[in-house]
Amino acid sequence: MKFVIAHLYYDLMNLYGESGNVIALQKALEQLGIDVSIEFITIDDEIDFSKYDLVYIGAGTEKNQLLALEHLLSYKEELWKRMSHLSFFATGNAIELFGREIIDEHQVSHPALSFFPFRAERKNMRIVDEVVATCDFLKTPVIGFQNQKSVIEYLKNPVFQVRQGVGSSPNTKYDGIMTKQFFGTYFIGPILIRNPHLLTYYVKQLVKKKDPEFKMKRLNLTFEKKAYEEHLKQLELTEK
Amino acid sequence: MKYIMIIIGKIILFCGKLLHRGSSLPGKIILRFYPHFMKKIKLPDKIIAVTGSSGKGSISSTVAEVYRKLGYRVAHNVAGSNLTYGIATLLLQYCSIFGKLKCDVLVFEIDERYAKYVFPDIKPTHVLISNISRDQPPRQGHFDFVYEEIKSALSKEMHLILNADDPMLQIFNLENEFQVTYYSMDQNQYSYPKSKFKNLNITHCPVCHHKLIYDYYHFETLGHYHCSHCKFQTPKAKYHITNLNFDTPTMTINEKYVIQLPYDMLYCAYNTLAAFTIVATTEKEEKKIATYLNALNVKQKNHLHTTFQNRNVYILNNKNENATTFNQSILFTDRHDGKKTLVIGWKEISRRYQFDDLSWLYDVDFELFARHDIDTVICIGLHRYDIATRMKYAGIDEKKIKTFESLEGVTACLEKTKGDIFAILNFDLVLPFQESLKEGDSK
Repeated sequence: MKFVIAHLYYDLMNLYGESGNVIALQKALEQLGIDVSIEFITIDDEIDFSKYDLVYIGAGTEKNQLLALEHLLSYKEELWKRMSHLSFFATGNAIELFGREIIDEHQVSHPALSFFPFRAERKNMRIVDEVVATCDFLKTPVIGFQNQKSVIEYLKNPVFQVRQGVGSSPNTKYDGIMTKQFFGTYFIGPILIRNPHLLTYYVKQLVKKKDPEFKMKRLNLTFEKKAYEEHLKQLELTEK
Repeated sequence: MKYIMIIIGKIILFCGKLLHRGSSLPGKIILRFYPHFMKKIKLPDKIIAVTGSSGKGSISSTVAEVYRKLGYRVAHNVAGSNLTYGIATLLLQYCSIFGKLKCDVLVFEIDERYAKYVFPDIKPTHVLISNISRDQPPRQGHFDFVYEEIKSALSKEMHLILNADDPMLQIFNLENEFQVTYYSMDQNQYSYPKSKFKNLNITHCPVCHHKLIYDYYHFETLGHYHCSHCKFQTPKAKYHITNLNFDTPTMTINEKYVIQLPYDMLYCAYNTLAAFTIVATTEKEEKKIATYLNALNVKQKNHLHTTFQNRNVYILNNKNENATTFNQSILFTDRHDGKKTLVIGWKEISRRYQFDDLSWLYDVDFELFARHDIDTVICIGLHRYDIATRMKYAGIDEKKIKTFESLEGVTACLEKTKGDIFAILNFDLVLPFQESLKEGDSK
């Protein structure tokens, strides 16, 4: 099997170690014997979405987010057409590109891709916190970090229940969207590396979408698991 | 009121010194009871402020020392208390009871987020912004936010001193509203044509948003650039490093002044040039400035290089949550050929807060190690497995990666490794590591 990842706006939407997620996916897929290639694409480039299996976008500054949005909007119709074949993965404020609109700090509305009906609004503050969240399909929690200027007040069918941390907006206690085509979360940085169980689950979803008959095998994530367990241990100590 | 408050402030300052208490407490107390204190102080004609993500302490100390050598009386926040209270303490320390600062030049380093609180009261004549890097994301948010904070502190009467090689700093003067003196480093034997670093703060033109093209790079986004679409380009600098030699280690400014560097690292060259530019902008005695800088740098002891069982050890001091400091260390390591053992670690990520944000670890381009002959990587601390994971993803064979919760057992492990040792450590592990090496070597 060949798997092609488009790392979109790799040079503009890369605030918090976001490239770690792409490396994690690449190494995991390669362990499964899959031939992986990554294309790095930015606002100067033309995009042929028919070439890719997965599109990844990370977090960016508020200015860069709008530059990326402007570029991505020119592909809105094409993206809609390819929804069923393509997978999308967005971390940090990249999730906002897939909502209905982004309200900036001057209360100006920037229409987004409208994959989902939510609206993101920039606030005069930043949400910065360590996160522990749970979801239906994983036995142990997902750990992460938030560092965002905007909030999503209402999110239909969120994927994560936030046990510690803020959520997509103060006091919402939920975050993220996961469908067959799309996985997005406000959690920043290399969440797939910090959460080996989430990586294993997500890689399985990606592979099975492309080939339902594909035989999975166990990934070697020894260091990742030890790091994850160490964090859980520290969190328990903090709680006590 | 003013005189009474200054006398009380000076008594607190005196008591603080006796009790060896915090360097910013007197400033905190005086501002609490007399908020206009800083505004009421009569300041000298020359006021130099140094701000930016890194280098401000070393640049401002060097500048203060050179002014002293030139015969000026200098007030400087030498203890590094660079927030509002620290600056108030500095004024208290140097002012007469009548509120006049007893100095010819005021030099102060100021935290990049606090310039906006201090500059309205102490308006600098010259402001050097060293850089804006990826630094403490949980506290700073990101570099654009830091830019906005500094920009809001500036007014057009201030003379800016900027590194021409950094496109991010040019954003301060896109409207040509400031008088600016630029400094720059010419292409040299260490420059490289293709970017070695991936996670950069600026890759597109701040004017028209087209891609920036580089003729060469010195480090991260530092280099000689121009926009692929408009006229945005490296501005013309007044002071240049025309020659750089890390073997000696020396640099030459404008082909005339050869200056000894304290360390063979790029930031030392830039910081020395920055200090030279500040003083040369206000004084006309370039030759004297260079002579004093040279003497100053020679005196500094090089703590970086030591040996362990007849192997070279390079101890590189870094700041967690600041990818740029780690990338500097990686670039330093990348300059050295031959087999290597790497030691990477820290005690805690941050002393400021409880958060364990690790995302910055993936902004550091450890991938540059993949082309080197690495014997072993030793990962130390509570986050040893996170570091080990990062090294694995950087392309290092898992079998070569060892983990240690503390320094215990590290020297014994080092004995079994090969090659020069490059210890890339957060500052909280530098001294303990040095000590453990000494103990290990004396056994």
